[in-house]
Amino acid sequence: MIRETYSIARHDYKQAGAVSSAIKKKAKALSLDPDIIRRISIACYEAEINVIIHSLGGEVDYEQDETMIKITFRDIGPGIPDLEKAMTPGWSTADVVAQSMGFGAGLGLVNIKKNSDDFELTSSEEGTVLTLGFKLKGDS
Amino acid sequence: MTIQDIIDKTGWNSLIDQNLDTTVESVFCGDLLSYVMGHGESAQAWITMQTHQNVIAIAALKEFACVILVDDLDPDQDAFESAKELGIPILVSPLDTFASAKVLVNLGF
Repeated sequence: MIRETYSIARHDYKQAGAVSSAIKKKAKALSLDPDIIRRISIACYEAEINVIIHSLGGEVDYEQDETMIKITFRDIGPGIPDLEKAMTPGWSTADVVAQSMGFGAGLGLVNIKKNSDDFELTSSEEGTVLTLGFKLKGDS
Repeated sequence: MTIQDIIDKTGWNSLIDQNLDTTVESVFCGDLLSYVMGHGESAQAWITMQTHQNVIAIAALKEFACVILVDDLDPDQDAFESAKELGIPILVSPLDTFASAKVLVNLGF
């Protein structure tokens, strides 16, 4: 079992992509299938940006065993009031700052779901937990 | 066609003289970063008018061949530094997005 934890700070746009780059580097070093690396990179970048834009900060856990990579994004609020709306393409609560940089298209969660094999999203005022699973090829 | 070929044929300014022998497979235009993340493909030249550091993060994650900024836009300083560090070529076109794309279409893309 490989395990790693990263942290993400609120509104830290300058560091955006740092966690996903580190995870991508890790996946590459493990010689994973290029398609899995691509999907992990996209999903992690979107999730990382979500934590930066919307939360008060959070952590990312990377876990890997022989069959699966599990990546968990855990933040400390304010949470997503309506998960169904949040999953609707084009729906976004990103602020003007985020929008001026080209974020907040309301496609992030949709992209994440599309690129992951397992997708679990729970949220309360205390925070949001997004758990993503990526199946490792070879035994499927 | 390589990035160097594009520079030679268009005369567009090259800001990062690294990896210019990379082959460009096709071209992608987009300024909405989630859209670019979702739809761009590796080895593409990415035409955009976003100039901040996240453009470079996305170019690196997506393994784009290069970034092409339009309208003579300058990248932000931290974007420039980050591109230099990661070896991601940035070209600057004096034209707008459509006209820049048209030039590339005429080159055979």
